[in-house]
Amino acid sequence: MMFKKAFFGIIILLIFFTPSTLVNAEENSGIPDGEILIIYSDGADEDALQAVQSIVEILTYQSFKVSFASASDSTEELDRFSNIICYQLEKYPKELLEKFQTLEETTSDTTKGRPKDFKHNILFMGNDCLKAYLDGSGRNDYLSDEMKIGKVTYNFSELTSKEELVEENFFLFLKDNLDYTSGKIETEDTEGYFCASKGNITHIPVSDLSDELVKAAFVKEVAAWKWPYNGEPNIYAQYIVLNQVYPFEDPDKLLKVINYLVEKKEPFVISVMPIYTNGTFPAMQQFCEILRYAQDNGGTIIMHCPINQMISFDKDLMNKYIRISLQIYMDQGVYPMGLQVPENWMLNDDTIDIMSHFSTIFTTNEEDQQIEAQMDSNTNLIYKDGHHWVSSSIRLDDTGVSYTKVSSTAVYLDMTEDIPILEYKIDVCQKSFVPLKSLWDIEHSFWTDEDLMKYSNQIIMINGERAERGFTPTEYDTNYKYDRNILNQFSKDLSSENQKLIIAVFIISIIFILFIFLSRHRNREKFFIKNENDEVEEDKKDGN
Amino acid sequence: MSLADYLSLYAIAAIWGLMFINIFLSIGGIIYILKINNTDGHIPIKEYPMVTIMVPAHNESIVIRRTVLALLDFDYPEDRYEIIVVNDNSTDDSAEVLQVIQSKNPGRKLIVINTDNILGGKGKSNALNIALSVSSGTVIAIYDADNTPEPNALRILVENLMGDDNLGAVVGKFRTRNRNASILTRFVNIETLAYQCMNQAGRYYFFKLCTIPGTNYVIRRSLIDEMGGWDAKALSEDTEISFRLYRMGYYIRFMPLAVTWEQEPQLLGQWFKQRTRWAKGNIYVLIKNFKYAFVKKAGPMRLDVLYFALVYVLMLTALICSDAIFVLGILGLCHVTLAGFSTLLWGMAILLFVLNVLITLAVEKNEFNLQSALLIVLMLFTYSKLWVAVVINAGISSMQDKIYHKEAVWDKTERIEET
Repeated sequence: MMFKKAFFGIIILLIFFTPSTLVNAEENSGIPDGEILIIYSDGADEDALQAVQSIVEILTYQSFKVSFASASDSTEELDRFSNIICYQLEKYPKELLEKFQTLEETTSDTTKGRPKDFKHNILFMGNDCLKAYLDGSGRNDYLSDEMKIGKVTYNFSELTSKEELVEENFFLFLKDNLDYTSGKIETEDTEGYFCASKGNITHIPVSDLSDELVKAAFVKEVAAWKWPYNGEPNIYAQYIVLNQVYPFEDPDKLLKVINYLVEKKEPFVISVMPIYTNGTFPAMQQFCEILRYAQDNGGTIIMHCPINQMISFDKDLMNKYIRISLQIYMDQGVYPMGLQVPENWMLNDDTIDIMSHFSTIFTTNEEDQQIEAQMDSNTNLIYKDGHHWVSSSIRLDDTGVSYTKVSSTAVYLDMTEDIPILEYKIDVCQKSFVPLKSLWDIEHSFWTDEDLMKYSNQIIMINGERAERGFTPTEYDTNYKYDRNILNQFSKDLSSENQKLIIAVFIISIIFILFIFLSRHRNREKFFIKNENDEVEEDKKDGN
Repeated sequence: MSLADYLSLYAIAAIWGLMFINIFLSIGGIIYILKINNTDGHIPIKEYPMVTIMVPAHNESIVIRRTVLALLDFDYPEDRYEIIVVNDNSTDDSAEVLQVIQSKNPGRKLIVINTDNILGGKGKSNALNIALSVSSGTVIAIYDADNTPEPNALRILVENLMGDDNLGAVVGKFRTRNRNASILTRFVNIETLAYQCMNQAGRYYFFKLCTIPGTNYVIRRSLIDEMGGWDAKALSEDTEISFRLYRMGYYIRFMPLAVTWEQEPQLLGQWFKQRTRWAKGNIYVLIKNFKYAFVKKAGPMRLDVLYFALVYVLMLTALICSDAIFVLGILGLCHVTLAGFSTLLWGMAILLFVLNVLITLAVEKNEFNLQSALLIVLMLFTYSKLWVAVVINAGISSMQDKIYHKEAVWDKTERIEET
């Protein structure tokens, strides 16, 4: 009897535990391969996940294939990754630290300077995990400072140094025989680095990526950390983008800014808003003429994705709107080379699919409220499409000029600002240590259900036919007929119909007024005006 | 083009289209009325036919005395007409009031039929059929229980009817007796003159087409008999009779010099009930007769069917679209991108509406003044909007009647004591 109870008890226990073990195994093996693995705390909060998203985006812009997972899910997978970023690790299984130790032991340090040939490189962002790791491995080659506030000083070039106050629970700085240091963090008691490497461990004591300076410095440091050679990573340019350019707006201001850029001989990009109808209106023709002029003078056109066009996000509808708008622009000789999208489009399957139609994508710091970020794929899916990414520059001053050159960046100039402000910002960009570049210098392509555009070697091909982007002034039709699309015969421009209506109303009003006068006159005759003969006759009737 | 653009376009086309139809009718109407006003309306006849005046009355004691006295005061030969009041299942003191009048006028043919809830209480058509069964006239005249016709009204109507064998009926004009009782009755007065009198006149002038308004009309007895009496299911028995007359090859004349004054609802609730009943009746007639819109032998009646269809379908939907776009536009929820879609269009429409109504007031005594003009503008934004609610309510109610197989109920208009 006792044996039977024990047997069933074991069976039940097996049934209870077996599936979860299997699920865990599946999840663990679910981390896709990548060049970099980002590990975050178990049960990380919204802010931490937001920061991980931010790191994924930054690494995507730098063309790295990234995987990310929680500490528990990553522990058994570390061997598969050469580069590991531990972001603000506070909760993690104990085995993780043991795993780090194993990884450190398997590396070899044979070079001087910043070593590059480790089998595994670990970048700690934040201090908790690194302290636990160093303590656990019996090392005391670090300084721990309980101060919570520190001042970051970071040089993006020889002449540009930026400072910012940052906050952490405590600060930790590696010491003794550091292979590499960069930047500076000063607390009341201590002075340390912003980034340092010792062996295969690299450490950034601050982790608040919502701070623009920390983010910009991290962008630079992570690129250098991942760079396999000595010296600086490849240099990428920044693009001046005239942003929020709407069709039908007064084109004079746009023309003035374009002429200023042309005079300065600086390449630039114009991000136009999409348009879905009335593409042949004179105002649109005039707008497109300026865009063609810009195209012919070093300017490149990109198109913003449709916004506020649907109640809830609809991929097919979005593709349709993009197709219609691109056709309207191309019909006017304006050839958008890329698509501008909100940054969170990078984290959603539907929007990734839409972006896969374009080889060149500009992202902005906007957020599309209709899009939900999908973190369950554990990788930057988008990387596989091989886009040319241009991210929004990180704003470290009022001009928005870029301070990083490890990936392509866009300096968005808001066209609603006054012209002197725009000119000032253009001047700052021109003087920046980050080079400016023309989009015409790289290849672009896009496809829709109806069109295929390819640009390379200064030649634009639309559906296999060469398109000319040269500028010729347009002669406008002063008597333009505003015919509408589907209901042509009914929905003619009402303003021309109004003319006829005004004439008809005028004539009817005159007729009515004449009738009113006539009726009043008749009434008066009948009820008030009596001539002498009538009075005599009435008197006779009355017998007077 | 957005959905709002399409709907706006539809509303503009429908409203302006119907506006031009009304303008056209108003021009015909004013010409006809000016022409008629040059005459006294009388056509001499050798012998006056026997006329039966029928007055259906249900709980009308407040107004019935005044009505019957006015009917007794007609300048029509006293021995050539009888008055039949159907006191239809009344629970008030109508019977006593009528009895007193009878006793005071012993030499007059005043017949009172008091019905109970078994024979009567089934609506106006049923009451008229009861009166018809005891009537002796070769001409039937109908007056509502709240009417005070002018003394010459009956003679003018009968003379005109007897003057043309092709005439099935002659209808007179009705005016608002209590027009100064409230702002609502002021609106009703204007509406009556503009959209019932002038519209009738225009339709008659151009197409010899006219609709019986339910009161102050005469009709040949033989035709009523041929029709088998009034359709008891119809709430708008007047419109129903009109269509049947046209199908029989007769026509109806509008004679604005035969005037009756009637009491109109003074309170919004009463008005809404009355108009809902009218609208339901018209919807019933429209559905029943729409098939004739494409039948040649239906004659000019086809135009009336189409006109009804335009008003109850096109006008209604256009006004709903227009108002919805206006409200949503103010709330910033929709935006019309039609080029030329401007306030000018609405401004011109308002101007024509005001002139169109003013022209009808100009031919009346003491109606044309600045106050009336201001009332017309106010009416456009208030009273006219209520029409949409009335028709929607009538449409829903008609559907419910159809789904639940309810019989049409005569929802009597409540009367008010006049001082």
